[in-house]
Amino acid sequence: VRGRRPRLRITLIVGVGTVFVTTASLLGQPRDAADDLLALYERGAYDTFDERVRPFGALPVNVNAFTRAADRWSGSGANRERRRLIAAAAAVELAAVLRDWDRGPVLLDAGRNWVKSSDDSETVRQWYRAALGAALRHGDANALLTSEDVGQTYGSDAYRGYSNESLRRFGDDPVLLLYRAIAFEMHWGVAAGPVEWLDRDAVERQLQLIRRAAEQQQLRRFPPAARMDAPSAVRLLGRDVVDLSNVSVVAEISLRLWRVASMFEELQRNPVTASEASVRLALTYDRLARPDWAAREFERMRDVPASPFVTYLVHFLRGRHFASAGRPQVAEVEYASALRAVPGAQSAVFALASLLFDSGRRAEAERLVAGALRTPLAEDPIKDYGAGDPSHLRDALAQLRRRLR
Amino acid sequence: VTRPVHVVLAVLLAWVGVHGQGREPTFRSGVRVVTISAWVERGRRPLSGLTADDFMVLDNGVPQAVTQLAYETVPLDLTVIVDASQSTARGHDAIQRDANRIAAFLRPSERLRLLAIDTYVQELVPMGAAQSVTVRPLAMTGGFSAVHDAIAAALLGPADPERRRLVVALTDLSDNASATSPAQLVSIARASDSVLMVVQVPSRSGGRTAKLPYLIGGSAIGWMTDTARMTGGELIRASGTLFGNGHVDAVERLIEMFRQSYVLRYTPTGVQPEGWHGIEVSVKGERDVSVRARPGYFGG
Repeated sequence: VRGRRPRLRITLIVGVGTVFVTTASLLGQPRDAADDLLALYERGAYDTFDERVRPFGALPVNVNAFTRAADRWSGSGANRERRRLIAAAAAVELAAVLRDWDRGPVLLDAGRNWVKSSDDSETVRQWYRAALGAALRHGDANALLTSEDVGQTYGSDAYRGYSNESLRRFGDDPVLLLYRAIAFEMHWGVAAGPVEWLDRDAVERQLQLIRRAAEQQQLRRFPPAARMDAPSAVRLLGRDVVDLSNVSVVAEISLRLWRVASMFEELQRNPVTASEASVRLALTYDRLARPDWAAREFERMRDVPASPFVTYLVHFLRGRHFASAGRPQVAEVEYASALRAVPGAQSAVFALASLLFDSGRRAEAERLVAGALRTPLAEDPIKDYGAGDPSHLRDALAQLRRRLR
Repeated sequence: VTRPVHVVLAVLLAWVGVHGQGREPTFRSGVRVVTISAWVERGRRPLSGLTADDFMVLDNGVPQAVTQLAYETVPLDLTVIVDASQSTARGHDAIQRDANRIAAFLRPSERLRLLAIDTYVQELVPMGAAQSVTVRPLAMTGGFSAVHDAIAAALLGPADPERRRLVVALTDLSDNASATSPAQLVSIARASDSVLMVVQVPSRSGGRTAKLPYLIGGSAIGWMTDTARMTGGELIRASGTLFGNGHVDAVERLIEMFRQSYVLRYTPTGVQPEGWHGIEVSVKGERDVSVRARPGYFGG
């Protein structure tokens, strides 16, 4: 037994040491990493910051450890107001590069607490733009829809009210209004499937048929894919009609789509959001079974200067329209224009490759596809349709850096 | 609408010298030649030892003379498509391990390419010798599945007339992010010189079920079956146990099966070159033998 004591002592020392080192690394390292990130942001060392915080990469710090450390950090030092804004900005930078959004709300909630007590400055406005832009990129409608938007059909527990809050503070901000409109559009307006337009007379005729069937104790459904103007939809929600068959459901769909359309019509008037609002308005008209109005919007947009994101969308969607209308040569020109706006974007690449292949230009199709599969991949605006133009988020993050430098 | 322009690559390129079984044949361009991969089975066992004279090939109903026959000698270009989207999510390390195993199964003359399905189609390993395979990490993820686009990319891959091409797609078939429609995919398959085998693997929970708006998507098993059959391949439904190492086993089995197919070549005679050519392949005087091959090609 005596002979074993030194070995036991060594084992204990090594064990305690291991526990100490492990504990120190678990507790200390993340905090150091968080402090390090905040210090980099504070002194404007953005290149180093960006090296550590890469899109789709592993975050250099645990999210909970970061928020705890940032809370401490922002409550110390000489200029606490500035430190709170820096902590909020760093949090939204981390949120913007997340691969999965599950930790995103933690970062945004922390950031929101740090900007809550600040004045309604341009920096805070840009923070909301960045925060809601990051949420939109991950399809987080909870953060984007106002309580009015979600109404009673959406669980209030899931709703966090960023949009209410941001619009209360910056109600005239076109980018925040655009984000909200996109969230509303994605929530209510993009269901797939064929649709048909019913004018007021046709709506009335359908209603008569349903009434007559009801009098004879029969059930007749209103055409579920029917779309109509807003007054017709409101008429269907009237007291004398609403309980008949499925009329209220069909009417609600049209009303929501008209609400989406009116949001984008409003945003068309602001130069910051005009082009993106126009392309979304055109697609909303399409969902409302008014391809003639959609075509008019697209035609109007052809020569309007716009961001690469919007230019791509316009040409890609025109290309698809012409391809399905049996005009492959015009479609080919449109897809090629889309690819000039965003080279290598895969949806236009594959759509164009199919046309090239069909017209016997296999080698061209092969080259096009091969070039689009290699990294770095081009972000495809149609695949990011629900996230909106990423330039708004990029601009907001850049503005934050400039203002907090 | 598919235009009658494209044919199996070999239609544009001619095979010149036959070096016999056990040696790799060489080919030269200039004369129209049609190439067909044909699986011949008696019962469920591959039938070897056949000669060119044993085959009967009808091109639009007109008998053709098989001028070249190879068995297990034409080197293989293998493209494997793995589903990296959330619906069947697999980590990079797992994909690297699988790629190593598949590469080890290939012969020195054979080549491997690896494509991944996610919101974007990504080339994780470019076509090349299989001795050392380094899988690139997924650059962008989104959790959606561009299945049709990935298969189109594989079927559109550049062809080498001295090699034959097998595409194995491991996917749950749930497409929600492609620009390529099912009809376009069938059209590409009709003119491709690759054989496509689709292994339908089970979906994992947690995958994105919604479709990206304004893209095509869908999960029509019928379309995918047609696409595979157009190339002479088929759709295989895997059981729930396929995940883990099971899917690598499936790829190895398909490679082995593909190696045991015959490569037939003939110069079409007595038929109009343009348009769709229906092909029927059979073994003369054998009733209990089944032959599986592509149903036709486009001449131009």
